Amino acid sequence: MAVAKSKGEGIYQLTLISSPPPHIHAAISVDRIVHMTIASLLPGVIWLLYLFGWQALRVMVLAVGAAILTEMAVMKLRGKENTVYDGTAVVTGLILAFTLPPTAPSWIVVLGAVIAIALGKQVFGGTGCNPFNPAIVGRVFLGVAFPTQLNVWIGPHSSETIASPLELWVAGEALPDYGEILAGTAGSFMGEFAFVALLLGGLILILRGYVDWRVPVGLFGAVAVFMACLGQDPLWHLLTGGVVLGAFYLAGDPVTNPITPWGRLVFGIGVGLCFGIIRYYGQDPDALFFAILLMNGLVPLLNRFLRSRRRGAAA
Amino acid sequence: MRDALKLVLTLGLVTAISGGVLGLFYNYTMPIVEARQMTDMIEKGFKGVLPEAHTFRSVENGQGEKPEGVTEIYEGLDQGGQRIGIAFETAAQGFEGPIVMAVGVDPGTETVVGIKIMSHTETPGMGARIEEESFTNQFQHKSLADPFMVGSDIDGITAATISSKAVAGTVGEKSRQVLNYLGYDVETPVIQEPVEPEPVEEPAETEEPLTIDMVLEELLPQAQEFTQLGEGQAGMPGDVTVIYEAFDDQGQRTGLAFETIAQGYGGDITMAVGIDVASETLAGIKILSHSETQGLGSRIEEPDFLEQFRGKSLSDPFAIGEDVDGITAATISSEAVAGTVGTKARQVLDYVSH
Amino acid sequence: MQKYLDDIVRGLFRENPTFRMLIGMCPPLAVTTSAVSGLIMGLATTAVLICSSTLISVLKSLIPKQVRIPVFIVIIATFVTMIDLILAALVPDVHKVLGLFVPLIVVNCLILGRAEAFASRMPVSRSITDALGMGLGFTWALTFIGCIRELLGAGTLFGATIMGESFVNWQIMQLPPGAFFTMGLIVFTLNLIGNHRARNVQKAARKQIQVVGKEG
Repeated sequence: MAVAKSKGEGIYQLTLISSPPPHIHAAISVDRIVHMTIASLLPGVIWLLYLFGWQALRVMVLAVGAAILTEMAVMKLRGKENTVYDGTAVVTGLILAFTLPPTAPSWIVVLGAVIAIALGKQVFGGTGCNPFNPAIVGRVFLGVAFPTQLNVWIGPHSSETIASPLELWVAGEALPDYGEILAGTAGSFMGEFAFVALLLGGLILILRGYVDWRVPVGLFGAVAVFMACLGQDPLWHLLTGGVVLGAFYLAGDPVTNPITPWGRLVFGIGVGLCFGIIRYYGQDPDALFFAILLMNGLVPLLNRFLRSRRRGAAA
Repeated sequence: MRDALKLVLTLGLVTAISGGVLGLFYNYTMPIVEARQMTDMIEKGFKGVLPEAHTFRSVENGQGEKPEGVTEIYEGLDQGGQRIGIAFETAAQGFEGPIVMAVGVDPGTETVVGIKIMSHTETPGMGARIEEESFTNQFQHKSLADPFMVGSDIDGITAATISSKAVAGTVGEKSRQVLNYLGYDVETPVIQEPVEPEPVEEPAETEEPLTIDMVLEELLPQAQEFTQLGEGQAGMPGDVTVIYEAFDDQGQRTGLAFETIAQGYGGDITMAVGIDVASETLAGIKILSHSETQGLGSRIEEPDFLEQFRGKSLSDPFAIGEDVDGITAATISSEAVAGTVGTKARQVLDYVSH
Repeated sequence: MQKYLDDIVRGLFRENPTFRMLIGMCPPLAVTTSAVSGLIMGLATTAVLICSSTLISVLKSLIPKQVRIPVFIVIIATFVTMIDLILAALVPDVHKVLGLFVPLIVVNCLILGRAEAFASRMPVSRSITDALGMGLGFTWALTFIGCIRELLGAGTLFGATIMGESFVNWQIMQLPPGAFFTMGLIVFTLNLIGNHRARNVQKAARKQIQVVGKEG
C-alpha cells in the first residue's frame, strides 16, 4: 500500500497495488487466455469470411501481420526479449480487424495495427501494462484521422454500398429488424455483422473465467436502461453499434479492467452510459470505441475508490 | 520601512516605464493595423462579395441603431458613382469562436450577392469547411425572403452543423438588418422551425426544377413531334398532370409521355414516364423532382434503378422484389416509384385510347 | 569565445527546451499545425527571450531580490505586447494564425526560467548567447513538429504541396492529439538515440578499463 501512495501512481498502479485475494488472473497464464480468445474469435472470423470473402481476409491478415511485425520491431528496439510468441499481438490485430469495415484501404489497416501495438501497448511497457485496450487506440486513431475512409459500408455478398443501421436510425428510415441483424445482413464495421458468432465466443470466455461477467452485464444493462429511458428500443441498440464486440473483447479485456469486482461492474456500466450518450446525442459511428477509451482512462480512479478496504471486508 | 518603500518605488517605476513605452508603441502601430485591416477587408472580402463594384465607400449613417454585430458597412459604387450594392462585415458565433465574414447584398433585388469567410477558429476538417466554395457558393444570388436555414434551403456541412447553421442564420439576419438600417424595407420571412424530434428532411434540389418538356426527347428519342393533350382536362387519371402524344415523321402516333406524382418517404416524387404505344412497354422514366433523404431515398435518381424500367411490359406487376430491384434502405421510395409508374402508365394508355 | 558557442549549442541540442527539458510546452502543442506558424511562433518567442534576458541581465544589480519575479514578468509582458503589436502591424496574416498564443508567450516558463536561472546571475553577453541558443532551440523544435504535422495532416510543407494526389490527409495530425503523438514520438526517438550513445560511451570506457587492467 505504501508503494501505491508514492509518486509512481498512475499507469503502474496495476502492478503495484496489492489487493485482497482472490486474485482472478493468478491461476491462468497469459498463453491460455490468448489461445482461448483466439479460439473464441474463430466462429466470427469464419462467418465474416463467408459474408465478405477475400476482402475480410485481407483486412484480418494485414492487421494481424502488421501487429506481429510491429511487436517484433519494437521489442528489438527496446532491447527486450521477444514476446511475440505469447500471441497477444495476434489478438490485438484480429480484434482491430473486427472494428474496421471490410473495405478499409490496406494501408489504413496496417497503420492502425502499427499504432495499436506501438502507441497503444509498447509505449506503456508491453503486454499487461497498457492502460488502454491497444486495438481501441488503433481504431480511435484511424477513426479520427480518416473518417471518410472508414465510414463506407459494403453489404455482405456484394459490392454495393449500404446504409449502416446507425445512419438509417439517424435519417429516420425504416430500420433493419432483429432478424436481419442476427443474420448479419445489416451493420457497419465487421464486428457488427457477426453478432451471433461474437456472442457465442464471448460466452465461452465468460464461462472459462477469462472475462469477468460483470463487465458485459454492466455494459448491456446500462445501454438497455439508458435507451429505454429515452424511449428507444433497447434491444435494437444492443444488437447494433458493435456492443457485443465491445462488451466481451474490448471492454472485457482483463488487462484494462479495474482490479476489484465492484470496480469492473461500475466500469461496465460506465462504458454503457458513455456509449449511450455518444451514440444517442452525437450519432457517432465510433461511439463504442470512444466510450471504452474514456472508461479505460478512468480505471486508476475506479481502483482507488472501489478498493476493498481490508481482507475479509465486503467487496 | 525604507526597504518597503524601495520595493514599491522600484515596481512602480518599472510598470510606469513599461506602460509609457507600450502606450507610445500602441499609438504608432494601431493606425497601421487599422488601415491594413480595412484594405484587407475591402481587397480580400468586399471585392469578392460584390465583384461588380468599382470603388467602395464607407457608410456611416442609417436609420436607428446600427445592427448589432455588424462592424463595417460599405457601399459598392460603379464607375459612374452609382450605388450597386452594400458590403458589410459581421461575425457569426461558431462552434469554437467568432466566424468573421464579408457579405455583399443587392438592395434592388433584395438578394445576397455573395459571402466570404474572413477568419474563424473552427476545427480543421470539420467546422473549418465553411470556407469551402461548395458551401459559400450556395449564398450567391440568394433571395433575402428565403429562411436561410440549414436543412431547409441551405445544405449544411456534415459533422459541422453548428458552424454551418451559424453562418447561414447570421448572413440572412444581418443582411436584412443592414438593408433596413439603410432605409430599404426588407421583410423577415416567417421561419418554420423543423419539428423535433422528426429528422430534418433534405430539401428538394434548389436548382431550376425540371419539367416534362425538358426531358421529352430523352424519354422518346425516336419521336419527331410532340403535342400536348391538355392540362387538367376532365377524365384524366388522378395525379397525372400533363400528357404528351409523340408522332413519328409520318404523323403516326408512336408514343405517349406523361408527368405524374408518387408519394415518397419525404414527400412527392414528380416523374416523367414515356410509353411505347405499339408494344405497350415503357420507353423510359425520369425523376423530375423529389424530397427524399440524401444518400438513401434520393438514390431513386440513379440510372441503375431507373434503367430497369426501360422496355418493361405494362402487364408486369411492377413490384419491388419481384420484377423490380429496390434500393437498399430506401424501400418506401423505390416501391412508390415502381408502383406508381405501373399503375399510371396503364391508366394513361387506357385514357388516351378511349 | 568557446563559452559563447557552448551557450548556443547547448540550447539547440543538449538542453533543448522543448525536446530535452520539456519546458514551455504550450506553444509546441498548440500552434504547430503548420511549419510556418511553428517557425513564426519560435522566432517571436526568441525575440522576446533575447530582449528580456538582455534587459534583465543589465538591470540585475538594480532589482531588489524580493520583487525580482514581478519585475521580470512586467519586463517580459512589455516585450511580448510590443512583439504582438509589431506582428499585427507588419504580418497580419501570421498574427491571425497565431492569435491568442502570442500574448501567452508571457507565461511561457522558458522565458521566466531563463531570466531567473541565467540572465539574473550571468553577464549581459552570456545572457544574450544563452537566450539566442534557447530561442533557436525552441524555434527549430516548433518548426520540426510543425513540419511533421503539416506534412501528414495536410500533405504540404511550408504551404507547398509535397504529397501526391492520392495522399489522404491524416486529419488527426491537425487536431490536438496529433501534437501529442508527434511530440511524444520525437522525444522517444531522441531519447533512444541518447541512450544508445550513452551505452556506446560506457562500452568504450569499459573496454578501456579492461585494456588498462590487462596491461597493468
